Amino acid sequence: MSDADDNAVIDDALRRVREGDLAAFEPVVWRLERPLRVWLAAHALPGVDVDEVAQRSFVTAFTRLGDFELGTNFSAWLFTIARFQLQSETTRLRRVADYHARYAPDLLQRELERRGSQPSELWQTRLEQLRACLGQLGDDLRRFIVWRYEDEIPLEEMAARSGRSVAGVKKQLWVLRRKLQECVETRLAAAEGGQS
Amino acid sequence: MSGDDRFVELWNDYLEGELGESGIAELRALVAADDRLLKLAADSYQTHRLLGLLADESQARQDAFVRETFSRLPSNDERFVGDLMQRLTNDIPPEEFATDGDADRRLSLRDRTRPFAGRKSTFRTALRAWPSAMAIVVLVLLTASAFAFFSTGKPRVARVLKVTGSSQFFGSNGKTENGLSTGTFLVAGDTLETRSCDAWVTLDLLEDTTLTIAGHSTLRILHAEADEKRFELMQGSLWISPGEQRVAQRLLIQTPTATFEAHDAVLNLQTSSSETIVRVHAGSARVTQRLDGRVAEVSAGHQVTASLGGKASFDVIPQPQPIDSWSCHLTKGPEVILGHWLPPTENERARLGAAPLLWPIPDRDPVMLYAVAIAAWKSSDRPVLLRADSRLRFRGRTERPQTVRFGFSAQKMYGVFAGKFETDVAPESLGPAGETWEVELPLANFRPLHPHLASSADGLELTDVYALTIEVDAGLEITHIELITNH
Repeated sequence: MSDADDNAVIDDALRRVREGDLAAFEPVVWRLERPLRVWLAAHALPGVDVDEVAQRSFVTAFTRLGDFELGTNFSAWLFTIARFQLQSETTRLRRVADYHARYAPDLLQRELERRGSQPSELWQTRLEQLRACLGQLGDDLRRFIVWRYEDEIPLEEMAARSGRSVAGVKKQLWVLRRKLQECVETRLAAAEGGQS
Repeated sequence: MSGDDRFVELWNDYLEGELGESGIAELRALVAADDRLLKLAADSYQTHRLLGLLADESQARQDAFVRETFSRLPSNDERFVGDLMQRLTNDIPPEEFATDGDADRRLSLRDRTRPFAGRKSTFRTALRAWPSAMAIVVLVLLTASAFAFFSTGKPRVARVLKVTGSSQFFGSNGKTENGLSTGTFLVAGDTLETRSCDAWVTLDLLEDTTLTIAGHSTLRILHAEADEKRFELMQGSLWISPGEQRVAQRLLIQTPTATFEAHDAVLNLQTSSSETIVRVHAGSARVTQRLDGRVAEVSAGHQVTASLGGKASFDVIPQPQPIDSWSCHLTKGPEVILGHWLPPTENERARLGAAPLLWPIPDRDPVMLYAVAIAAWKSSDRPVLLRADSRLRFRGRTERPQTVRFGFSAQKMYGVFAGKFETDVAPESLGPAGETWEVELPLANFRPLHPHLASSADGLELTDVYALTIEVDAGLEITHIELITNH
């Protein structure tokens, strides 16, 4: 479905919401929750509850529906709200005494904020490319990702299972993340080349 | 080691939550000196976050998100309609009427892109706005009807903000659920029970006040008059934390030994079946002891103990100065949250054996835990202060080799709930099965389960301590618990 079609579907749903069909807001949430959570996950600092910020953004958008001009881009409007919600949450966390020292190197924060200006659609594409890259990994390598992110098992157990040291497992994860990152960049560049 | 290798080492530790303050400072210095490393760090972080998101993807997850989002749509219908109508008729700029936090307030007209295009104060604009205003009024009325239906017509008292660990919900309609969902609205007659040591639940009392219960606590929502909210803490610990807005309703909390009444006090209650301590950290609270009807006013910085046996004095006293070393004397019969007493041996007069605890998990098979848990607050007359260099010493044994999870919960000193901290110790680090072992665990080894509450235990107050095995009954018993701090 093209962006224009997508916007038309969302507009239609929002029109029905304004006409009193509360349930019509549901497909809007279904359609946009994933891109929103992906964008937030990529730009939120450690400790930020991405789902909380995403839900607050939807609720704010709902309560402000009277402000929204049908026919314009609701997704862009929602992401603007989310950006402010994320800033607000980051500010709140920064005020927590030892958060900044322990969890959020300021340079990383600035770099993430800088990247926040990239188009939000890019992050949904990135996620899809990452999924594809993950599928290309051999089982012996993918198991580290599964252990770390799906099963969330401790590094010590990963080390025992793989017969490596804990430091070796950490290094392996670093290498895999790099490899996946490079794979995503390559695929994005190829897709862009194909389009031009 | 090259700069890059050191960066990779530090960065990996950072992502695993294992980097201390000095490590973070070193990491910062490396990144500050080399833009290339900053890019590497940000790339790695974003890939890390996206991998976490991919791992967490499921239809059930998406369903839950949409359901929770819907449960959070405006509930204070009258205010919502009122604000909206006022805004559309008076054409007040949005930033002036918004009340939903800093972020909303910052959505000022000049910040907005086209969809936010500002309105001018013209009669024409106001007229044009009317149809949508009426539509939204209809929507709100429908919303109100829907919510009234979903909440069985009873007024909503609270909304579940955060749920961690194992909990059970006993609805006023007789329905029982293993686990609570964020966003669920609670009504009179509902009962919440946190079952595991690492559990806690935070409720939004819908008036800028939050209420948190920790593990092994049972809270019932009682019927109340229009100008009050009423709860019964049947056992466990509870924290009240009002926000900045003035709280209009009275808050009444009953325990087995007392009733507490407060408007906007920051306080915490800890209760067993025979004794309750209330500590007030800001504002004040009125306490009525059930035994004899005596009433006490407790102001900030003070505490009072209400008991059924009448052993405690029911005097309001200043909260005592904290201690940073503490030993739990099992022989004196501390408040045991979980566990059962075992017969004494020649060497150990008091032995507390792990009790089974079924840990229900929504949409999955329940997990059996075997746990010992002690209420530290009941084992010391003074608050027990945790310091960065403190260590927890446990003595005990297991009949079979098994990893033991040690943990504790904490609150801000004279403040609100601050989360749980845990660490696992492998059987080979405990020593041979069947023999008594002693482990001394630096607090820095304990990982915060919820770092947004408190990322380290330094400066917090110890509230309870636990040890458990997961799924396997290894015959865990604990004979000694102690907090040691270097001076």
